Amino acid sequence: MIPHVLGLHALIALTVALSAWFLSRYTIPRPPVGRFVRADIAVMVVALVAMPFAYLHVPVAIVVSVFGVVVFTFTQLTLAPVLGGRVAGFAALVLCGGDVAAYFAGWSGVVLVLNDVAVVLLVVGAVNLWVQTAISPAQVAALAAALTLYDTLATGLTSLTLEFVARLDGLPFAPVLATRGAPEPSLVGLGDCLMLTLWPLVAYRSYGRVAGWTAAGVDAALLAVVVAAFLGGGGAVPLLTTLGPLIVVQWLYWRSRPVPVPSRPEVERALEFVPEPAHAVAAQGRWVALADGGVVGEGPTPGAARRAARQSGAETVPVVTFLQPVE
Amino acid sequence: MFGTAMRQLGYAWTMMSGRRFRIRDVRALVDDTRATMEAFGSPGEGSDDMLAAADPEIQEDLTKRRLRRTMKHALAEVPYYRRLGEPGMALADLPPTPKQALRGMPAAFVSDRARPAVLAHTTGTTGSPTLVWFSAYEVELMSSMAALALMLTGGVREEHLWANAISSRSIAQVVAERAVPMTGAGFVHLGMIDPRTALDRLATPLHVPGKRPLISHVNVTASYLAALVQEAERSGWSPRDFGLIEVWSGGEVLTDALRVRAEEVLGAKVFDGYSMTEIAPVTGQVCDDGHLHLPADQGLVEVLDPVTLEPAAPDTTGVLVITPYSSFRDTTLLLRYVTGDLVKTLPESAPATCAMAAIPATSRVLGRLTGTDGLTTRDVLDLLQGERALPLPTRYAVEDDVLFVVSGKDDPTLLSRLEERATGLPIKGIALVETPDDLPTPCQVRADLIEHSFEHAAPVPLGVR
Repeated sequence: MIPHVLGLHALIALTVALSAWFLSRYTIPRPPVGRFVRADIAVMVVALVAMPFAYLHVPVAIVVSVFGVVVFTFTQLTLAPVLGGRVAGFAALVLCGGDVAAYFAGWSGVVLVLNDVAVVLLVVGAVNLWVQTAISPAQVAALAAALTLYDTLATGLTSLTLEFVARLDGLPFAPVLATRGAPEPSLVGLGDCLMLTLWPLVAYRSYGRVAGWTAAGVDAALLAVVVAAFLGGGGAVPLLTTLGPLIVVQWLYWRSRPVPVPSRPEVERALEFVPEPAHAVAAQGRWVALADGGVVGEGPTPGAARRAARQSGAETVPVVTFLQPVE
Repeated sequence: MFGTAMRQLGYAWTMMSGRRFRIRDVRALVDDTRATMEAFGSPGEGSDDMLAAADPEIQEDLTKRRLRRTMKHALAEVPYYRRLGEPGMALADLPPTPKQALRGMPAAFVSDRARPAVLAHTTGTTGSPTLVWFSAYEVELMSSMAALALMLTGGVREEHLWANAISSRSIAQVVAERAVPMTGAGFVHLGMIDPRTALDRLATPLHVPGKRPLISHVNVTASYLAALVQEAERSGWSPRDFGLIEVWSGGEVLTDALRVRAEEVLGAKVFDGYSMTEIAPVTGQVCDDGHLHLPADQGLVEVLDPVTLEPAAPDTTGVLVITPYSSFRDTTLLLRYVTGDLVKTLPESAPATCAMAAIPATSRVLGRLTGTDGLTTRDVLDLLQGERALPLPTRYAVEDDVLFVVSGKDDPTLLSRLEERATGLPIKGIALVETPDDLPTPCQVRADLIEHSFEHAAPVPLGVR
């Protein structure tokens, strides 16, 4: 049991690392116009919550077909920047075809491996798509909060998730990352994988290196606790019930940190400028160009002062100000 | 992204169907585009297709549908056309609308159902200004679409500062002062002021948050650009004094010679466009190969023989005749409006192969006929602006087939150079005159609409050395 659980967690760590590597190297094609907005979160939450209910009441062939289309699309999307569009399409076709063929051949081990490959690629692609379409930390926190509620109900308080997973056990395109199937499954749901991967990347992008590594550390600590609970006989653990609040807490912490107000040092420095008395008299009633704490040009108009600054060799665009005549 | 996709679908559907746009949705699409630019710095893949022309076959079908709607509205609601045609008649059976008709009675072209909100004026360099009414719907729609074009194809970003130095009474000004802020860029009301002051403004550091320190884009007419070039050269301005990236010229004939000089002295790429208050939102852009491309999705563009007003044959000179579609225009409705601007149709053996080849093209605008034997404004300006010794903006007149040119001084060497280069042009001779007042007939250009200010005791005389 322990090797399967540790292997599963190694797969999760690999997924997070692959997503981060992908983000640093590749750009997912994005639509011409549009970025991630609140409405997208709402649509996702509704879809994620509604899907398991729907899938429990439709023929399993339809469920598998829907997941097959999703896997094919995201595999192609993920691999396209790496392999090119056509090769990626072919690779996605091979993966999906192989998964189905292995199922009909009764090779459950191969189905498990190919499903894991599909889920890892799906997570890498989906997370990168969201991050690269500028999903914000607040949106991830909102998604986490919504999924916390859902996961608590579906996994912790009811048997919805277990029934759903049991129904898809051993089938191609099952939305779980697994190292062993029934009767003693060792698996984590697609939603858990997405949130475990998404937050560290978004935190890194939005708040910096420390926030990103902290988020990854929190993921690792949480998984360690889950392993301990699971091995201690705790049964199915609703991971998002804990992960969601942890993401929200991290978001609240990082957003509460003061954000420096943008400044314009060249204007600040120009305001501090006090002309030498002799110069103040000589240049009174004229425009002066200021840069690096001193006068770099002067003229009867602001443009002329700027031009004089350029002619005197000033590299930067100076600030121009009018020297009032001395009373 | 789901919402944006839905709005894009709605926008595409309206473009296809020829119905009225939902302004709220178009504005939301502008906001989405701006948010995209602010988040990523550029649009995603396929943005070119958003504003590009459709497949020719689809375009033809769309044109028919849009024309049907436009004709229906105009024949039922516009007094001028109600008297001229009858419901169900084809556009080709309707005689073209001369400029004089609109100028003479603008109210006759305003739809009975219209809710006029803004009155724009043409510059009237060829006579009295023409008055054109627009509704709030039209102004908002044109502004939103201009904002989309500025962001998606014009490369305008939040950091830029866009200055307008065109007639304050034109619809282009009304649209630009709304469209540019929609993109997040800053809009500067420069105005057509004394060129000395304008150049000073362009060189003045502004240093406001989130923007470049200097004006990055300026929109001018060609003659005002000429005035800026002359003043910049005379006063020793350097391209390094400015922060200009792009100069947009429109409303008048822009020659290659002037464009090159402007690029040299202002340090920015100069773009040549075509627009006119009466036919808004139909606009054209000149490509690198020197074609004028006029998209077919906002209005029907015809090139007619200037005399017979029948379709011009390939590789011949014709006049642009434009019908803006009623999905964009609901106040002053114009059918087959004769712009008076001459172009040359492209020869069948040499269709456009440039990056904008999918958009219908003609030659650049040739201007008007000047004198006899087909001499056009462009012929004369190409000749004169190729000669740097002549003052800008170029002023001339043709009388009895003699080209009178304002040169500022008597210069036999210059005259002989011009005469040599004019070989082949249908003129009998060239005469140099000192000032615009010495021309046999007045030569008015848009740069003459200069606004006075208190910064200079006397305005700079334009077009003289």
